[in-house]
Amino acid sequence: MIGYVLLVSFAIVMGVIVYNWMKTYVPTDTVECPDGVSVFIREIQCDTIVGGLDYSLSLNLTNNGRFDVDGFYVRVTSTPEQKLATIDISKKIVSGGSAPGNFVQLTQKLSPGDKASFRFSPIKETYSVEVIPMMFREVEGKIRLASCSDAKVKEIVECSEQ
Amino acid sequence: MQRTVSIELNNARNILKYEKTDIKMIRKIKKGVSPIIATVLLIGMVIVLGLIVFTWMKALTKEAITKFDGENVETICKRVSFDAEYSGGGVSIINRENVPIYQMKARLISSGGYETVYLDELIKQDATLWPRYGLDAEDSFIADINTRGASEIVLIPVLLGQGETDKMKFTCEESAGRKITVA
Repeated sequence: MIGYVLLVSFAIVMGVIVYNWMKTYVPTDTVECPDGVSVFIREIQCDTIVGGLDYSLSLNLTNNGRFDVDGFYVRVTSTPEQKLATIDISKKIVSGGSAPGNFVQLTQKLSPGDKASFRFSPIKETYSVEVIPMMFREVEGKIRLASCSDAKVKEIVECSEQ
Repeated sequence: MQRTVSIELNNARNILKYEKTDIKMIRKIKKGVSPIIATVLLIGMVIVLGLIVFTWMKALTKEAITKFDGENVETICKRVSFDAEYSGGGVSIINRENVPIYQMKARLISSGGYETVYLDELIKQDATLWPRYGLDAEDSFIADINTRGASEIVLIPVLLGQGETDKMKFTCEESAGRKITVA
């Protein structure tokens, strides 16, 4: 009788230990953008700010995807040799949205088919602009930010004295 | 016939009497623990041995580090994605996924072998340091680094997760890293 009790207890304890260990390997819900998120740079324009070497960048975006977009990451390169756009200009936004973090949050969601204009100023010499849409997603009751890297768009603008 | 049966019965009684006496004698001579105490002792020893082996094995196995509501960082490492390039003496890194990269290790590969260090150790004195709280989604990092004569560098992400009691760092497998050519 005692043997059975011990055997069953051991089995239960081992089961609990293995369960707790294995459950960490089960993937949880991840923050991901759905397929079909897409934006398109309709127009991009660079103007020299009078009396200085800085520039003002106007960006017109169109949501040509199937989902609302809540914001976007915007980074630029300064030279043609630079492959990765690492210069974040989101904090330089003057119209069209705000920059609570390293991204531009739209004042109104950009719904499919909608167009929006943004202006960034002052910015330094720029060769290309990279835009990555983002959206807020609810995961297990928490609002989390999801970057849509697959929907990245890049455009050459050449803001320089040439 | 009846007498013969009676004699055999008497003999049998005598044998039984002597056997009972023998058992009593044996019990008196060879004292030992009762079966209940023996069982308790045996079970106790098994439990104690089991606990010792369990504690020992626990010390040998790695502690599970979790992130994002209990997911093991080993599986999260497979979702890490970042771009990196080296140009003009500097390294540029952009985190492309929604998994924050807490720190970055650099495996410096040269003809003589390799050494692995934290990227911070390679950053030149006046350059930007790796962000204290790591690289969040779409964050970028640029800094001039000292390559120590390496021809290639493998950048390996380090994630921050929750251990049993404290926050712990976990270095991802090299397969989650990115190789950049520096020479």
